[in-house]
Amino acid sequence: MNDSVHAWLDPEEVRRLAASLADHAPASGDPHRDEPGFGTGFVGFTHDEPAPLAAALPAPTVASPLPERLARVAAELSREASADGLFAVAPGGEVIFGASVHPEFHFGARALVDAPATTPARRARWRIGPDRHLELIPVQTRSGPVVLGIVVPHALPTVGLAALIRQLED
Amino acid sequence: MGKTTVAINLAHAFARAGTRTLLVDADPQGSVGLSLTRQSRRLTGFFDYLTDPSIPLDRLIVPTRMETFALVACGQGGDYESGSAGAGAHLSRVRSFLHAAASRGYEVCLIDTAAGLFGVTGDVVTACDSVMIPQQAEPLGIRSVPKLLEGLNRLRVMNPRLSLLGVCLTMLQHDIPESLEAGTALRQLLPPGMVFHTEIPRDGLFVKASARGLPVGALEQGAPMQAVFDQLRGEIAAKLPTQPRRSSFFA
Repeated sequence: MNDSVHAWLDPEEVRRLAASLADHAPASGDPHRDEPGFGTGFVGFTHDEPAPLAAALPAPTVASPLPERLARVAAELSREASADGLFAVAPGGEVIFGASVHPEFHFGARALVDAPATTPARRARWRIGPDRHLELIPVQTRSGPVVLGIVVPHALPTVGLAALIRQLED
Repeated sequence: MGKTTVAINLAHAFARAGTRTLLVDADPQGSVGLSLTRQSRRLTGFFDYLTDPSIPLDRLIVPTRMETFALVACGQGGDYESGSAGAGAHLSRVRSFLHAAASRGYEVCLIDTAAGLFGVTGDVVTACDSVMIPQQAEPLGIRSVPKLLEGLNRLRVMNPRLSLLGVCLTMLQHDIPESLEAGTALRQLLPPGMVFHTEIPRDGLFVKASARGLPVGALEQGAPMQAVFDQLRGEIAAKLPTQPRRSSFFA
């Protein structure tokens, strides 16, 4: 082994990172392989300061099935943050909530939820129009990780977002 | 790290092979332009396009003596030099640039970026179809590969179709065992096929070429080195699909 290199890094980590880069092509038969990805309307990322929510989100109630909690969160975001819909994507790309909600952006949530273990999913915020943002939020639920996609006119504030995530986590 | 040298001479190799090639300097230091034209610092370029939507691509194109080879200088650095623009802030303009280049018939757009994956470089990599990594064959450079791979994986989340063409060992010094060992170590670490067979040696010819503002293949003694880049072009071309591609370079 080459000590001037191998002694300074974790060869297995390097191989994992490299393997995940090499494995990029959608498999044949993958229903999502022809997704357009960034469309012509995509504007880019944003660094706007988030606007405060009109009111704090209610505290979580006794645990209920995930779809029910997602529906409640979607309704609250619509009321409090003028959200234009919420969808949720599980590993493997299945849309477990809001399948008809902004399907053109589901690709972003799929990419995040299936990110390799060596690069944990992080919250992402995309400006998708003059007064529209897509928030992609990884959440660890009892059923496993999901990524939420929420379309809002303003970026969601971190505090309000934490309360939202608590409603979905166990 | 040799990325600008690789970008210039690889673009020249593609152009010599008849591929309509656009070489873009997306490094605020302007290394590509400074290597090839004395007027580079006065030319409207890539960073001007990013900040001014009224500038058309045609104003940026610098023709060369080869019909298939054109350049875009870096332009004015502005806040990109200080890195204050932020990642993703100009992704849309980068994509607009690439669409414009493709619509004008450029089959390959090679973009030489600044080192690192933040700021505009991250946007360029996110917007491109594929990325190639020139990696200097020396221990310190090889030790930084994990960080680089991690950064690319993060960018791939935003562009799932981004492909890694491969890693090209550069500045290889056959008379220094540590350089050869570093190259060997990288080949052992990475999957088969991820490191190009072609290796770019450190050679004084590159200094002479830079002094004359030419690709190394244009020098009188440049034929052997030109053949190296022709070989690298062949390896890359074998990995590219037949439709036009947009590739970025960085280190």
